[in-house]
Amino acid sequence: MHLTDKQFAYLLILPSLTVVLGLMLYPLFYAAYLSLHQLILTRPWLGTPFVGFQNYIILFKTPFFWQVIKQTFYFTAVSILLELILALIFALLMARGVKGENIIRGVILLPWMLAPAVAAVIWTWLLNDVYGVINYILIKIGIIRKPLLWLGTPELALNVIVGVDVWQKTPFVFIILLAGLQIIPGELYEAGQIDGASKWQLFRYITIPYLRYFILVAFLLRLPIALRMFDIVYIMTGGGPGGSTDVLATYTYYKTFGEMNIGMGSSLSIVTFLITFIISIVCIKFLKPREGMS
Amino acid sequence: MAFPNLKVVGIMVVGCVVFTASLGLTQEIPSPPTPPQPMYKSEKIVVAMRAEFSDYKSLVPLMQKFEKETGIRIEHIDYPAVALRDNLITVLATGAPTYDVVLMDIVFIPEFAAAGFIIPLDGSKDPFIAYTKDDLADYFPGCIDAVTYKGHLYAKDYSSDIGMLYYRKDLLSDAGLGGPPTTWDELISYAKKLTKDFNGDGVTDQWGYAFTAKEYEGCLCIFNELVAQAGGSLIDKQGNVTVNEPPAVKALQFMVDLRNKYKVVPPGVVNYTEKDIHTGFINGKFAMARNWPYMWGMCEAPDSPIRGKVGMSKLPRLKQGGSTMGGWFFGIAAGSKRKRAAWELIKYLTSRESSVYMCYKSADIPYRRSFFEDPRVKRDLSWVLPFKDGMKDAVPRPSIPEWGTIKKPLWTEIAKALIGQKTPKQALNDVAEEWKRILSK
Repeated sequence: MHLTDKQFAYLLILPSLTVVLGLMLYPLFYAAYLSLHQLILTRPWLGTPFVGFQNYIILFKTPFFWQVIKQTFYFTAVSILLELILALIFALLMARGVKGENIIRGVILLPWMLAPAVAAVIWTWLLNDVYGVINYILIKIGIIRKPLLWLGTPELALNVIVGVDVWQKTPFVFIILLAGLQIIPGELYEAGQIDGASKWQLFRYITIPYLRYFILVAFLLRLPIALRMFDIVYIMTGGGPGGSTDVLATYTYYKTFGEMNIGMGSSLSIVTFLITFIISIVCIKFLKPREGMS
Repeated sequence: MAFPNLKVVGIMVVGCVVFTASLGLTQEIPSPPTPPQPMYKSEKIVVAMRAEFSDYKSLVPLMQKFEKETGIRIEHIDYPAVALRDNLITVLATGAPTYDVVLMDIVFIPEFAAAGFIIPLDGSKDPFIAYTKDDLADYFPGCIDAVTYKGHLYAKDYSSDIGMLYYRKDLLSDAGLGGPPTTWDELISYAKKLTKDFNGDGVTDQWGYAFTAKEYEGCLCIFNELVAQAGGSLIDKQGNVTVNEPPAVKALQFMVDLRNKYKVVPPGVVNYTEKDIHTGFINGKFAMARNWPYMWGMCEAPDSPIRGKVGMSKLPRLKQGGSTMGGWFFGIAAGSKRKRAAWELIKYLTSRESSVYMCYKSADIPYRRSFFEDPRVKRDLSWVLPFKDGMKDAVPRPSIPEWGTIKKPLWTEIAKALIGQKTPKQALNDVAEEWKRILSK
């Protein structure tokens, strides 16, 4: 049996492909399977009957579920937007080369080096109302008169979560955008300047088209992670106050390990997967740059 | 997180050595008692437990002594306390013989008993596996209640936890107050006198009182005991939902008023866990606080800035005393193939002699009456005596298997009441509605 090169190539990657697909697809299918059954670990007498889409129906009829969706989308949209803007600013400043750029780059990267859980714990202490440094400094400067209850005020808490995430993840986006900026050929800018283009025109017609692809990459890398963000909320607020910071991941965790309702938790996992999948596909279709750019 | 961070473990070792050294500076710590030879042996026993440091100081030497004297190998599997319930349930639900002995927080017991994860320990399952009459009489009634489900005993206590009132004797006497508050009204008026803004900048520097009200179990412990103090319950003995009846509403109103009306507790209590309480109390931010017995050791540690200035008493009462029971208990897994040997180990770890040893080593106090009468305890560990009063008023959280499921609506609504989004009555009515819906299934 004589294989073509292409067939031989597929044969070679078949083992790894099988393992990877197995690790990815098996849990996915099993979760989908579980989501169609009722399974509550602490009530074994109920058995594990097949209930069809019952779990999903109950979920969609629960008002709090929609609040969680809204809060998750708000968090994802605002944090990714802020991260892109901030990272772009930093990247633009750094791309032209500044004095001590290695040190500055190192400092900008520091938050990214921390485990998210550690970052969450640090910020929880910084924002403490009684002896947190943030309140202390703000009062000393005179911006506020009384300590703010950052994590105990519903309107503030979700934005604080966004802030901590932005602080932590901006370096990641920054690295991607910086790499993008650095591959733009300098001659293009020179040619543009010679032709009399303004700074804004240079930015709009040279920088942005090149960066578009990198922005898309950064966005697609951040999107699923942001939609599934768990540790910041779990550590800083536990979903409070009054459920105002509960996101898909913490809600799923509570249903699965708090109530031990594996069926419902699996439904939530499938819902999370579908949301991430659909949004990613849509974004790729819309934001894909024109031919010849990638 | 696969490996424990050595530096963190190192710091904890130093901390606990300091802590327990402060407890027994002059007397020698007894060694683990010798177990009687067990009637039933096995080649090994697997114990699932939590990885808190104080347990290590006492439980592990006891298990090692047991191993040495009986020849039964003890294998202990340690989980971080927050992950213990998840791991226990997912393993026990399979019925696999992985664990023989399981360590449980008091609130797991009804849940595990109802699901059939653990076996009765009153002789009904196996005549050999039974509490002695002596033990039945020795444990405080609240403790026996806590381990009883549908008329059977399912667990045995080795360590207790009850809510206590901590207060700064020096700050109280400076304010002209003789002793700790004993009623709700006294708590309010004392706390008002002790809430101070030292430099007149509009920011309170010292708060009269503090408790934990973040949305987690600790908040429910506070609420539970306040409801008991007001003469009510969350769910009564017949299983009726009573969380929205007048005593409970009064209790929640009291919590809300302490924060929003009298302003004697920091607004941040809605984010506080035990760590915030002990940090704030030791650093002088709180003149009084509600916390568990563990904080006593921290207050009296040699390097504590408030050493010698702290008093401890029962919580104030409204109609009666009330203090939420916590505690840690041993049970036998239903899937275990070594149940009788497991019972031998449990008997040893929870015996009177072992409890005294544990108190010396790790400041654990059992729910046993005889413990407080032991001459060694009276001589060397007299700091435990105030807890005896607390134990008399000890009240568990509802001993129903659904507790794991109905907790979240309760703490969410308590939070909404505390931040002023709902009145206590509205909040508790919503809780009652949700509970009735869940419990009727």
